[in-house]
Amino acid sequence: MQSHEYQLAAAEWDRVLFLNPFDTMARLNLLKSFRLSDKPVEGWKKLNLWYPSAPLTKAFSLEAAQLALTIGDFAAFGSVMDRSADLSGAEKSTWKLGAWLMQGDWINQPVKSRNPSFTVASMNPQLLDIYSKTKDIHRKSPAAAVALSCLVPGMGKIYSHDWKDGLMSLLFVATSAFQSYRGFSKYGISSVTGWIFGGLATGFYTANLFGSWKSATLYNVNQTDRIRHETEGVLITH
Amino acid sequence: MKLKAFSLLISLFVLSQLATAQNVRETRAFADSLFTAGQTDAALPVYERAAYFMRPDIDASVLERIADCFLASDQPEKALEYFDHSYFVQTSDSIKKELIFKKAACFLRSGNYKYALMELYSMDAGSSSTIENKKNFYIGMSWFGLEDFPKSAEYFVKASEIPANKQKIKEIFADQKKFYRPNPKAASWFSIIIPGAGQFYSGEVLSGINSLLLTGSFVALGFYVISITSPIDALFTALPWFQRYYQGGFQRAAEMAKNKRAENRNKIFNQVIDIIAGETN
Amino acid sequence: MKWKTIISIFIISAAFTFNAPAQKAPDINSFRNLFKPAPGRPEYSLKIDPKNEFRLILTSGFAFYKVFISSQDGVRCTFYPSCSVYALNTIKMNGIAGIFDAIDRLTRCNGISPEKYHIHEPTQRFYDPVTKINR
Repeated sequence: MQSHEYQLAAAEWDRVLFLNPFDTMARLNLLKSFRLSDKPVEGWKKLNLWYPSAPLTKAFSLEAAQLALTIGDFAAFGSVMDRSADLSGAEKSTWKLGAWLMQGDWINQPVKSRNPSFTVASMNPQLLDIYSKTKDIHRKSPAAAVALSCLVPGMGKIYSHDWKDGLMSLLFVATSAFQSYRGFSKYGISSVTGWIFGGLATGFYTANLFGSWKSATLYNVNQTDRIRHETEGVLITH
Repeated sequence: MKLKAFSLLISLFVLSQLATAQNVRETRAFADSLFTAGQTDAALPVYERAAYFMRPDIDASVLERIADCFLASDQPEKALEYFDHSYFVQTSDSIKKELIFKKAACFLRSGNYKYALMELYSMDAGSSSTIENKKNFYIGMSWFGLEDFPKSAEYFVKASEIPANKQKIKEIFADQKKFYRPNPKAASWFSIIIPGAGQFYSGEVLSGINSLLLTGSFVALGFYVISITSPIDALFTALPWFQRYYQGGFQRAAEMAKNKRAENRNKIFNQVIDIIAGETN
Repeated sequence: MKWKTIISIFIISAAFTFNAPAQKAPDINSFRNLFKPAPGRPEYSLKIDPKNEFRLILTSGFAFYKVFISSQDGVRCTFYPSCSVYALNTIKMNGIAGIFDAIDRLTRCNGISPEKYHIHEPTQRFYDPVTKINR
C-alpha cells in the first residue's frame, strides 16, 4: 500500500480476507485499495455485501462516505450518513458540506440562497473556506451569453470571462463583414468577393453565437470542477 | 476449547505463510513459462506480482526479467530502471557484465548514445574475446548514433573476427559522403528557389508535384485578383496563403531530406549487421 | 519402438547442436533497424465514409485537405487535436451544430489564451478535445 500499488494490494487484502473472513482491518484496507485503484464501485459492492443494512462504525462510515463521493453517487452518500452510528453531529455536517460542494448543484442556486443548514455546524476551517469561495462565483447564463453575442459579436464570450476569444471573434466577424461591404459597394450585387466574405461573415457570426453558449457552459463546469477538486483534497485520504 | 482456538490460529498462520511461499514460486514459474514462450506482454504483470510478493528482497533475476519485458515492449526508459536495480542486487560478475550490455542497449534504443558509451567504456571485458567483440560492436553503434562514422567503422571492424569481413566493413565505410546524402540544407534551398525541387531531390516526387501545384495555384490566384481588382487586394488575399505553403514547402523538403538521410544510414547499418551476425562463434 | 525413440532423440539433439553456436546472431540481429527514423503516427484516419452524401462530402473533403494541402504546411494549429481533425469529428458527432463548433474552434486557434487549456504532453500543444453537445 505504501508504494501506491493499490491494485496488487487489493489482491493481497482479498487473500488475507479469504483466510480470515471477519478481519475488519483487512476489510477496511481492501475498500481503500479498491477506492485508490480506481475501482470504487467494487468497493461499494463489497461494503454492501458485508453490511447490507446494519449501522456502520465510524471507520466504515468514513470509508463508505469516501467511496460514495468518489463514485459520485450522492444518494448513496446520504444513506451512509443515515446509517453511521458513531459519527458526531459536527462530523456529519462536515461531510454533508463536502458532498454539497462536490455535487456542484450550488452553482444553479442564487448566491444568496446558498446557505445549507449544515454549514453552521461544520467545524472544518478548510471546507468553510472553500464554501466561502462559492459565494463569489456567479453562474453564467448560456442564454444571456448568446443574446449578448447577438447584439455585439464576441460580447457573450467577454461576459463568460473569455475576453480575448471574444475580441478575436469580433475581429473575425468585423473584417469579413467589412470586406464583404467593400465588395458590394464597389462592384454591386454581383460581386464575388462580396458574396464570399458575406458568407464568411455569416458563418463567423453564427459560430460565435454557438461559441458564446459553449463558453458560458464551460465556465460553469470549470468553476464546479475547481471547487470539487479542492474539496476532494480536503476530504479524501490517500 | 482454548487449545482448539489456539491450534486453529497457529494452523491459519502456517497456512498463510505457505500460501505466500507457494504463491511466489508458482507465480514465478508461470511468468517464466510465458516469457520463454515469447509472451512478454503477458509475462510482465505476472513478474511484477512476483516482485510484489518478494518485497523488500526482490530477486535480481526477476528484476532483470521485468526489464527484459519492458525492453521487448519498446519501453527502454522503464527497462533501464529495472536493469539498474537488478545490477545493484546482482552478485555474479558475468551476469553483471551482461546487464551492462542490456543497459547500454536501453540507452541506444532511447537515443542516449553518450550514456551508452559511458557504460561501455567503463566496462572491463576481461579475457573473453566474445565479450570484447560484443563490446566493440556496441561502441560502434553508439558512435554511429553520434554521427561519428569513422570512429564507428573502427569499432565495427574490431567487432568482426574474420579478416574478409573486416575488409567488407572498411569498404562500406570508405565513402563517407553517402552518410550525408541527401543534404537537408540543400533540399531546403532547392525548394526556396523552385517550390517542390527539394522534394524531388529527396526522392519524394509526388510531394514535389503537390507543392509546385499548390504554391503555383496561389500565384495564379494572386495574378487573377490583380487583374480583376488591385495589387493591394492580392497582397491581402493570395500572398498570405502563398507564403504559408511556400514556407511549409521548404520546411517539409528539409524534413524529407533528413528522413531520407536517416533511412540511408539505417540501410548501411543493416549491412554491417548482416556481415557481423553472419559470423558464428 | 526403441528405434523411434533413438531417432527422435537424435533429431532433437541435432536441432539443438545446430542452434547452439549461433549465440551472437540473435543479439546483434535485435539491433536491426536501430537507426530507422520513427514513423510519424497520424492522429486521424483518411477513410472515406460513403454512408450518405453528407458524410461522403465531409470525409472526402477532409481527406483531400489532409493529403494535398495540410501535408504541405508546417505545424500551424495550436491545438491537439488539430482544427481539421476537430472539425471532422465534431461534425460527425454533433451534426449541423458541429459546423459552427468547428468555425468557432478556428477563431480560437491563436494561442493567445494559454491559461484556458492544459498541455497535451506528446504533442506539446493545447488540449481541446471534441465534446458531445447536449441540448
